[in-house]
Amino acid sequence: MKLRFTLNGQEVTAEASPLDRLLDVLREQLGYVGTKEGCGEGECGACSVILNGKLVNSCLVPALQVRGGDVLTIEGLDGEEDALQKAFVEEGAVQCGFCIPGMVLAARALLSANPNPTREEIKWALAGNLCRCTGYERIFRAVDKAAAEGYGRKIAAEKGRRDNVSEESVKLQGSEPSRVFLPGDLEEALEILARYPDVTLLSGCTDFYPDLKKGKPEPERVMDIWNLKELKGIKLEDGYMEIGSGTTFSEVASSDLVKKHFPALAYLSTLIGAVAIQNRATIGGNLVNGSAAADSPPLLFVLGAIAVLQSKRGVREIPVTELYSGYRKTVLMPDELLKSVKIPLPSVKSRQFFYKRGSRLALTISRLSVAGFIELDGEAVGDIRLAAGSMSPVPIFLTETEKYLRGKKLTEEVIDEARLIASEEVSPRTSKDYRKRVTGRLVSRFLKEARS
Amino acid sequence: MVEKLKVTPTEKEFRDVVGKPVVRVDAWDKVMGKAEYIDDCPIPGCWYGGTVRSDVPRGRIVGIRQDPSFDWSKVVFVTAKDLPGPNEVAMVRRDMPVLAEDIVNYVSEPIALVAAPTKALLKAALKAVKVEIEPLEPVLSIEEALEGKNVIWGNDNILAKFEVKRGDVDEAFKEADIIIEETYRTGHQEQLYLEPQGMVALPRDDGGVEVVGSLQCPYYIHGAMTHALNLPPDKVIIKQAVTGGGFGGKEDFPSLLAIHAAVLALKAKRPVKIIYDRAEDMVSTTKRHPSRIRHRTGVKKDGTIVAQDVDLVLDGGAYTTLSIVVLQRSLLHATGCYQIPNARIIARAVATNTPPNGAFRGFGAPQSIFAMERQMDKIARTLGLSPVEVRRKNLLKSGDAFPFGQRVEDDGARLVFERALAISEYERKRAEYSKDQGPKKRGIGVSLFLHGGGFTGAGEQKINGKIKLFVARESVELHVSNVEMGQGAATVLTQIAAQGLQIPFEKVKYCQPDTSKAPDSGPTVASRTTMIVGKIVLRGTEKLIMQLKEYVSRHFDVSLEDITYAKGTFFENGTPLADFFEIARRIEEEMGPLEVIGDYVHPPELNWDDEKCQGDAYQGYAWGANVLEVEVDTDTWEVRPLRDTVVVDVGTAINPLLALGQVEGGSLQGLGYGYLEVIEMEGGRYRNNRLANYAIPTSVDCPDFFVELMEIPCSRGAFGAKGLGEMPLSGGGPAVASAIEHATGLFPTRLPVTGEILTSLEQEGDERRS
Repeated sequence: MKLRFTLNGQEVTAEASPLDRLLDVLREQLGYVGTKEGCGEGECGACSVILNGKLVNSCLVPALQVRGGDVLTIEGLDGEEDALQKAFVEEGAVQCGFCIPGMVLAARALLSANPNPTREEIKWALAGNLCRCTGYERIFRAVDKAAAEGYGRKIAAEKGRRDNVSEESVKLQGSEPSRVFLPGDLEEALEILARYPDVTLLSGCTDFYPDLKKGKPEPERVMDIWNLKELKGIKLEDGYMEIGSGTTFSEVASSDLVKKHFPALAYLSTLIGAVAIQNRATIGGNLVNGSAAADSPPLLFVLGAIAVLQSKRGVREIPVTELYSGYRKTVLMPDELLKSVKIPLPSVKSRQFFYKRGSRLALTISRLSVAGFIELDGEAVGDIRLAAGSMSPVPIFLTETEKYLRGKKLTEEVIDEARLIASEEVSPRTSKDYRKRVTGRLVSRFLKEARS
Repeated sequence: MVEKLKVTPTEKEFRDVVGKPVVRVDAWDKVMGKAEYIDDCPIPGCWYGGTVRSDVPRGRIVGIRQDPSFDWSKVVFVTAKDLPGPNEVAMVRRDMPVLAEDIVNYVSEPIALVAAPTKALLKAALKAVKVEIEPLEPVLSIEEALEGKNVIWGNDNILAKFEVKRGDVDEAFKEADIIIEETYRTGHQEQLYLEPQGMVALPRDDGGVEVVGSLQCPYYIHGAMTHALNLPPDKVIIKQAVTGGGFGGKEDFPSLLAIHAAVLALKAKRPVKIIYDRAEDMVSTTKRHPSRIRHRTGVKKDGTIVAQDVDLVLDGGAYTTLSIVVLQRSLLHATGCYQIPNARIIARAVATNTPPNGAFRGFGAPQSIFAMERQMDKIARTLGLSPVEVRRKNLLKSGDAFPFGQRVEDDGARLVFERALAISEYERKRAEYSKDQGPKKRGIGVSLFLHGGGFTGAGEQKINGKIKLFVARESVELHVSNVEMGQGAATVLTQIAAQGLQIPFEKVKYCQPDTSKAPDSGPTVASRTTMIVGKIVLRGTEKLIMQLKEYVSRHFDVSLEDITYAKGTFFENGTPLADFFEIARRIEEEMGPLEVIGDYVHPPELNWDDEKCQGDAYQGYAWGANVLEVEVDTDTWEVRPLRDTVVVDVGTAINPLLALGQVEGGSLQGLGYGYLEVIEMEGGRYRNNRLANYAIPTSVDCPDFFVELMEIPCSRGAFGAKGLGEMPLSGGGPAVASAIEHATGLFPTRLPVTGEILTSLEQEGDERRS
């Protein structure tokens, strides 16, 4: 296909296959080799670029989603005139240099959104960009220095455009029109889905490319639903919060509505990969891909969320708990897609909880997760739901623990007993003792928090 | 009448640069994305190379079948039978084949190579090769190797063995109040340079081959290539591309990769590039040696060590690579920073059917230091003393001797230790953190470590490094085979040369290593570049100045003794005569290109007996202390490093800013080794084989660093510098174990200290109590 987009302020065209990674379009088609490949699965950040004002891993963006977009790579910064690059040089933040183009762009994305970050905010904003040389200290100092010089405010004026796709920015060629679909609205997407039930839906692609790396064959037909407005957004209606399936975790995390009603979901959203992943990964993708280690399902289970499925034939709603028929399998009909997730608004006296334990603090896949929802009836446990993730093909409810707790007052003894029951309800295949113990303790931590 | 020569703009321009935080010479290119790493270099007509690998840990190759439906005329295919020379990768030994021929000895061992004009065709061709292997029973652990039921290497699976003895250990144990024993274990660690391995080979018209790539040791590759390709030295050229991190991972492995690329290029008669993706890099390249180290220490009640037995075993993997020298360094660092009057250290490296382990920053020392530091904590714990007290009792002082006989020349160990304790407020925090309530508990731990700079023993004499200074019009080119891979060598060596020549920093040009231009100044390893190679550079500068002086003496008819040189200008009794570049230009005009070779001179006072492992093992020791504060969530065993205070003696910090970067980066890599970086093995293959499941520290996992450089100069290093690059890594592992111990009360004996390990320690505790 022929692709047109803005690169570092200049309009460029490229010949690319629709599923070519933006990284390859930049490096191989256009000769912009400042963007590096360190892993090809969104786990290192060396390939970070800014797409439409947002930090992304260019190894996880299909060329077709760049149509009409605005891309900023390291080559687009001003060098000696750029206070951030200058700070990196002067503070000794550069060693081998391979992570640096991505790191600089990640720092820039941070400062444009948050011109005066704290050290902790800097750490979280750069968590998706691994550096093996510096120990990060000099990088933090460089970001501090650029911030102090007003870098964030200066570049805020130059912020990239929002997604703004014009018809002419992509031309499919040869057999592509029968394999690649770029619907303009939901109705058209459903029409295509009805006609080609084998079509693979592309949204943030943060699972799509790692799966290809692991050897999954490239799909015959794909449809890009990333830009469908009907799948985006968060709203309150009839006692529910409805989150469009195409809403990214960045949007979920920063939504005031979510923060108010579902603080556990807002928190969870900040722990999905790191910033560049959160800017692309969608709540719908997280649910439908159904990875055993997915973070949102356990919490949506305990929150009583409903999956809204739509096809040309109409809309149906099912509890999220009934979404999965097996490991990475859902009950979606071939012509259906997940339109949104509806979560009943909790009462003010309820408490919710999500805790994820990965192998490290950030940019990590859950080795176990525990989600909880509780409503106390006076001092006694009223409604309680507990779920554990990452230790079974789909999340499980800790039903024995729930049963035990219902109606009980949360004394030390009760909490301790609940801990023991919970730890016996999960059956992880590896690292058994460790994951069972931690599961029990997290349940106990939740109950203690609920009591206070 | 003698013509008056140009005097002297350089005088004003020269500033002292040694000891100054000069901006790196490569910083701007890198920060602007202009630096060309190997995969960034445009090479017209270049094909892509790939590797067919073993999927079993041990077996007999029965057949290599090429799918007849694939059009093999479009690609180049190479097996062991097609190799132009001996099927050996020449390193310390020659036991590793370029391509497995009859037997495979590890999962991912290369069996065949393919080159194709496009990536897609390469992928298809690799898929069209089926290797039939009849599996043999593998040896998969240190224990299985020692047991010797299956012999996979030599007669007994032992790749190397060394022994060091001092005093009478058995007699001394009798004087001990208590004997403390423990077995410590450490796992694999992946270097995880951000830029994966990559190499391009270009055939030359003269039948030779040129290789450009991401590498640390141009002449190691040169040697391995001439051997495996049967080519004379002048027909093999090795050039380094900008290298995105090495950490030892690009010390030995690139020899294999370069031969692979070259074999393909020679057969394809065109350039071939092999760039590993991360997954291939992680499954097939060398890692840090896993270890099992048993300590048996006789101590007095007050904590004084009277005797020590150490039994140290490293898992070398399937072939020797550098295991012999790694093992030597392990052995020589086995008793850490302590004075052990009676010691017996037995060190062995064994072969297993796992991917060969090789060089990684620290090179055997981190395993040893971890075990020794843990043993000090164990002694403290057993005797009810503080970890600080036990260390103070046994610290090496100036004049003390290591078990292998070398005398300690300074009090660095004590100085860095006391300073780190003081500035971290160790004692106050230890007391404060001990009172933490609730599930989140803080802990503070300390480790003490050292690193011998340069090659072990007679290594530097054998290498006999040389550098070249070439005087161009208005600059001096520095040609060495030591590479810039992020650590700052290009900048630091430039500083040393500029200081030595007393000309402005900008006038010295470090040239990217190229074996057709640079003499062999040795590999970029062993923390030797600044200390040892820097000294050779300095000798080169002295020689160059002397040549110029002699010219000045002849030209002005002034006796040599009356000529002085300072800041780019030659003087006769204080009167300026001529400047550096003017004289250089005249010499060039009259006698042709002006270049000098700087030579290595071995310090005559140092003696080493390789056979007995006795004597002066290193030219100088750098010392370090690491006080780490962590917070441990005792519900989830999640660890967050909070503050890391590191005090290191670096001899002289040629560039303090870069030195700080080395200490911070090395310390964090050590912390990762300490609690995050897990590689589990399953049937001889790494289970942690992708970035998604091999966790190195992110910015969030990183503590705030408080680093202080201490300078106790070493006469054998350039301007007093000691080896710095590797040392900080050794401090991380034991510091993290010690801090976790303080926070949790549990005593980890293996690295990395994961949640699983803490859970099992907790369970043992539960069982003991019940």
